Amino acid sequence: MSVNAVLYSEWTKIRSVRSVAWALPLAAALLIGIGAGVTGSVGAAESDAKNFDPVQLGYYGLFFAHVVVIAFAVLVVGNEYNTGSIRTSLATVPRRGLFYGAKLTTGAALALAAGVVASAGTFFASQNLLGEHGVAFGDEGTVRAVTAGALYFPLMAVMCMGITAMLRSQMLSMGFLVPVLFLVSPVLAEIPGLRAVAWYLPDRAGQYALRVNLDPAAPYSPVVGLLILAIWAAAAAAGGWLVLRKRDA
Amino acid sequence: MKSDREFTNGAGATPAIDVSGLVKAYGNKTVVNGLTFQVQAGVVTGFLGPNGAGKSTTMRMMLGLDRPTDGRVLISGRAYGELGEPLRHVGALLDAGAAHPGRTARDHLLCMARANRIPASRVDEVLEQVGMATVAKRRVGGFSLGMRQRLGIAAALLGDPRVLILDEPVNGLDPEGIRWLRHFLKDLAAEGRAVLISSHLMTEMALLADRLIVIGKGSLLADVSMAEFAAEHGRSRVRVRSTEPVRLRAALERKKLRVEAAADGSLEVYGTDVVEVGRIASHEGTSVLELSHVEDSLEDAFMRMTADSVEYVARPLGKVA
Ligand SMILES: Nc1ncnc2c1ncn2[C@@H]1O[C@H](COP(=O)(O)OP(=O)(O)OP(=O)(O)O)[C@@H](O)[C@H]1O
Ligand SMILES: [Mg+2]
Repeated sequence: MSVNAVLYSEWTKIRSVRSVAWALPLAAALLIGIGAGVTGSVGAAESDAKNFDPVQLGYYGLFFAHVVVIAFAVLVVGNEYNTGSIRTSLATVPRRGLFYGAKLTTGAALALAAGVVASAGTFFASQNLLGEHGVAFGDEGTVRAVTAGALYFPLMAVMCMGITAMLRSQMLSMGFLVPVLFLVSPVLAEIPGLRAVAWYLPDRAGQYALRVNLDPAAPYSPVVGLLILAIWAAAAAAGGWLVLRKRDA
Repeated sequence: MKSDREFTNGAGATPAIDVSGLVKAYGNKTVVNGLTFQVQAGVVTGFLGPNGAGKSTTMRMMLGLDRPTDGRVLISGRAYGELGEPLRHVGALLDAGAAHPGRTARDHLLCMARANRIPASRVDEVLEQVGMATVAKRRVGGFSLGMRQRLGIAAALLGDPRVLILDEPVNGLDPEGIRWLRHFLKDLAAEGRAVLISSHLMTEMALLADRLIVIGKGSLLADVSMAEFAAEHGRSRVRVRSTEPVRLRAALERKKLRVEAAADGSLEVYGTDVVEVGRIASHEGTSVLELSHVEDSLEDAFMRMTADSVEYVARPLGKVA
């Protein structure tokens, strides 16, 4: 079977369902728009704060944007299970590794494209609005932060696609991911004894790579933070594969 | 349908579908229990069995969706997963062709076509064929069951396959649709394709299938041609009850008629009709208490055959334990 043909098919699946097709442009718009709004309105006031980080402030919208990226990823995989079209898909592409690989690749590639636009757009818009309080592209840490911002979308997407492939249901996946990323992660970070653990959660680790004003309490460097997210993504993708490989469709 | 491909359908040719020793267990429940049968090209094969007999499970194993616990299925001599671009070999309809409700009919087919490098023009062709061209750009979510069923049939036809595996394609179709499908499937078989179609309705199969495979509780109950099955089971006979059954029987047998005594003392006479039996009886001077034409429908025969293997039996009202 032709790999390109299967990739083309997966792309057709994504573009032909409205909610899925619009998710990534929406995520990019949220990231850029919220970043611009926040830096434009409170940027100057915030700049006096002790640990002010102009880049991090610019990515303020990431919290909202990544909800949409997660929804995108859960829909891309979960739609197959919720509608029963997984059977049609596997009858069409019986090599499950090819099917799964093509699905993850397509989802990740689109998330990367959205991430590049969103991250670059956010950086330049927000730093422009911060003016004298902002930093320039090329300043220490900025290239890494913008790159990490672009990679955050696809890594998060791969992790969520993998988890959905493991759980084989949209409801279960959203029901698992939303509380973990929106409750467990912020709450853990507030509990003294567990704060150390929270650093290793995928969203926290990945987002640390977006900072230029580094946190002395961080147990790792920004690049390692992004690697930790990548490890989560790889583990989830592998878990999804183990489930898909063996289970009856 | 364009079909310039050569189909082989000779004796000794590789069967279109070759099921051998197929077993499927879910946990400790064996739902397919050592099925062995073959489906040939050029005919419509009916796959019959009561609810829960294992028809859908067997079909899923044919398509490599469920892994057999034991045994194997070969399609044109190869495992499904080794067919290359499988839609070009096998067309399948399962679960009314499950599709995303937010996708248009055309896009749904396009997603399948792309993966097997089937041109987009073929998508429009099959939509036309199943009478769905006018709703091609409408979302599947708004379709009736019958429309989804037609879309599923269109999907099965996409790759112009030599083998069709259809799980209850008649479900949800209106009488016009059923008639259309019947002719359509017969034509496809006449072109040399293998058509396997599951159903629990014997009456439907009697009109459509050339061959029957009957299963119950996962085991093979019959693998016969429709003609054999009808000759064997679709028996029509005359039932006659008289005051002097012995004398009447002798008279009937003198006319070379086959007579069997039924349990209630009446006689069952084969190969004749009510008028003739009535005439013989009156000629003989015996008084007739009952005279009627009895026909075992194929449905009755099917019910009798599967009686022991029906899993889900509705209890009559009022007798619920
Ligand atoms: N994934 C599964 N897990 C457990 N049991 C299953 C599973 N799939 C099917 N079964 C059981 O296997 C049996 C056969 O089911 P199957 O759907 O193959 O029957 P069928 O002949 O298609 O019935 P119907 O005419 O109702 O469609 C049933 O008892 C069903 O409950
Ligand atoms: Mg079934």
